[in-house]
Amino acid sequence: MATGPRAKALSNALLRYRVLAWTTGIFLLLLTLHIVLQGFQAADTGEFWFSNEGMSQIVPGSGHIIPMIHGWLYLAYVIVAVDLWMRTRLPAWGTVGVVLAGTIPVMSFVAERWVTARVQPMVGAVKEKKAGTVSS
Amino acid sequence: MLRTALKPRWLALLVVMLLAASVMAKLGDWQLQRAREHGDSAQKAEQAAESGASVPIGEVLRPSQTFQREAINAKVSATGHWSGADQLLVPDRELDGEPGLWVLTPLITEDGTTVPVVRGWVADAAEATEPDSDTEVTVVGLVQPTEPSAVRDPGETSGLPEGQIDRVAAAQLAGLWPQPMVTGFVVMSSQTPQTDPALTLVPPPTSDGKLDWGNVSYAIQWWAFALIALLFWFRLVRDDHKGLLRRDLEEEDDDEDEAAPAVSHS
Repeated sequence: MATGPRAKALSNALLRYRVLAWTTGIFLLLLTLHIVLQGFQAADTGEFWFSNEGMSQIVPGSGHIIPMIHGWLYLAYVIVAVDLWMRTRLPAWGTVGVVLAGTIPVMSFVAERWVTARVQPMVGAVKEKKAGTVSS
Repeated sequence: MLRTALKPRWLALLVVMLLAASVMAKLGDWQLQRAREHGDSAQKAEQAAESGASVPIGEVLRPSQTFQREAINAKVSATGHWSGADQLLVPDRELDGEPGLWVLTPLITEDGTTVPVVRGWVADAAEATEPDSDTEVTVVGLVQPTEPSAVRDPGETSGLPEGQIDRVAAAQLAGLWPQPMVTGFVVMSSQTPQTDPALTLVPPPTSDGKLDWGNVSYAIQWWAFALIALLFWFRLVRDDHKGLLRRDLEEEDDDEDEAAPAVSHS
């Protein structure tokens, strides 16, 4: 079996995961900012927390768009993380952690480091195979 | 495969995954319901506007009581006197796409409660007339929740002319009008006896039958997560069946069950 394409496929899967870990992470920070802003506004208006404008105050409409985009990005993040797990068989509990990390601000960046550190050598291992070396 | 799936640990995990999936599916339903509520509230307004029945405002809105969601678009009646001198205009309010202002007047009910009432709409601030404050009037209209106040830096003003306010916000009205006042306001649909000249009435929110797409997205996402949880379980069982899961001490760090990169096996 040709291992070249497989190494490529694995590194692509890793890249997909890394891109989504970053974008989801950034949107989660925006979402957090939005909710924190709503909290400050709630103190001013006396309104129910989530009925405040939040980020819409700064960029009109963003208060509606940010949670929605984050939701879809996170779904893609979960799919891509599970896909990467199917390819690499990283520890299953670790993968559960990686998936949950996407819901905690900043943690997706940590998870991205954890995953990359483990998957990058695997990509290398696939290439070694092609060169004729037997991987453990 | 089935025998593998029936191993106690996989059965236990299946129970966990099914529980998680059903919770997620429920959450999806809840989001879909919230998405529909959006349209329902407008529908309720149409129905209330068409039906003649109204309830005394005291049954739905009381000062010192937090605003109840169910009160939104309830058709109420209130009897009292206008306080024309306190009348305010709310700019940037469209009617059929035409720019204009809302005429917001406090109605002082018999028991001394102030009710903010949107009496109508004018295209120009100069058209707004003050109502007769001496006659006792009965106002019928739909209840709306108070709008969020504009958030401004300390010392910053709305920049609006005297007698105008940018939001129908209880917090902003509190300093201007006599208290106690209800939280929320009434959009007037009729007044007896009439004040002349009558203002153009603000129509109730119309139902566009639209779902809230933010909530619809969340609903779809929850169901997708439920599906992914079940697929995750299925893949674990299949791996076990194929003998892919084995205790590999090298790979095992924070994990008790499974490890071994697929790349080194196939």
